[in-house]
Amino acid sequence: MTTSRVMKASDVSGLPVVTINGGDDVAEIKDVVFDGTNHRLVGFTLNKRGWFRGKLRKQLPAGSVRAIGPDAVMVADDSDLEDPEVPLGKAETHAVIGNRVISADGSNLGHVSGVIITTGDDPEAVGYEVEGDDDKAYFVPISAQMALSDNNLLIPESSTEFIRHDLVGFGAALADHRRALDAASQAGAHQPKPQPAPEPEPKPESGTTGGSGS
Amino acid sequence: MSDAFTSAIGRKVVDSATADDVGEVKAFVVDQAGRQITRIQVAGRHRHARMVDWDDVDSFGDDVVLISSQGAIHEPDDERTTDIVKGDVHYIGTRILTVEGVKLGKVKDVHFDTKTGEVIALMSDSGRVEGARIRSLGTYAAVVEG
Repeated sequence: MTTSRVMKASDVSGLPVVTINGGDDVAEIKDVVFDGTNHRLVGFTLNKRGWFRGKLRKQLPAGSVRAIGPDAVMVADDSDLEDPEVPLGKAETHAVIGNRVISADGSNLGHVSGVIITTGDDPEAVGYEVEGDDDKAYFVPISAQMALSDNNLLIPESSTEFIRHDLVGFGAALADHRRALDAASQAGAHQPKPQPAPEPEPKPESGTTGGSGS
Repeated sequence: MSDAFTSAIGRKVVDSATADDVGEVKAFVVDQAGRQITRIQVAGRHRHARMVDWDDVDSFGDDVVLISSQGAIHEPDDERTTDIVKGDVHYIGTRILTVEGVKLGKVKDVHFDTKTGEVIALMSDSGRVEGARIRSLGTYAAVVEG
């Protein structure tokens, strides 16, 4: 995982699923399946393509995704769509969307309005979009130190400085966040600040998420 | 030598043994990897689609395509050929999609090697895509390396 290209998970809905080895559109993304309890992107439910739309029984695990682009979700071939014994997302999870977001200093930030995912090979959830009480958007990095209940999401202090108001800036902040976490876990978590921040991620590359439609 | 789909379509097809006119080039069947012409569809006054394998093309000339014999002409007999004859799969006009899921425009023309039938490059409204970058040609898109 090196790239920090990110997009809103909700923007994936409606994209065709196209096979790299076949050039065929084998499905269309219906919904994102997210395991809130573990802050984990599980995969996607699917619709059929073409005239006979409607729900497809098969689903797409996140691990089978090669890339998520503005125009399509790419998989190797149609065997990557799985007929799950336990449908994705039927596992017990906390709801996250709608939860109140509380910062480490005890103030209300807003509520969770979306999930931010990476767009490369094997995409993963890396952040939450928060609709602020001040009507601003906040992008908060996911970390293992987050506490989640049925109603609230607590942001740990270690993540506070990596919150951003824009998706592009957030993509860049993620790399720093990860570095900080790695440094902290190596240093035994009590070290003050990780000084050695090598060259910052050069270009965060836009997540080209907005309104591209299809 | 290279040639392009748009200029080759409509070219006369002649039996090299008898010198008979057989018809004209109507379409190219390209393998699923999008890299190799495997067959040519020959148009003519016939009820069924008529195909000639690339191996039976003696010479793909500037003015005439010489085929080994009219006996080599056959009907579509596999799924890929049927898809192409029906128009479900075709290069010209299809969208180009990178393996990263980014649309690069549409295929305007295809350059190919007249000796080997290999696809040399795709010409699109956003530039040239070398054949080596092509991963597949399917019902939805030509998928290429980014």
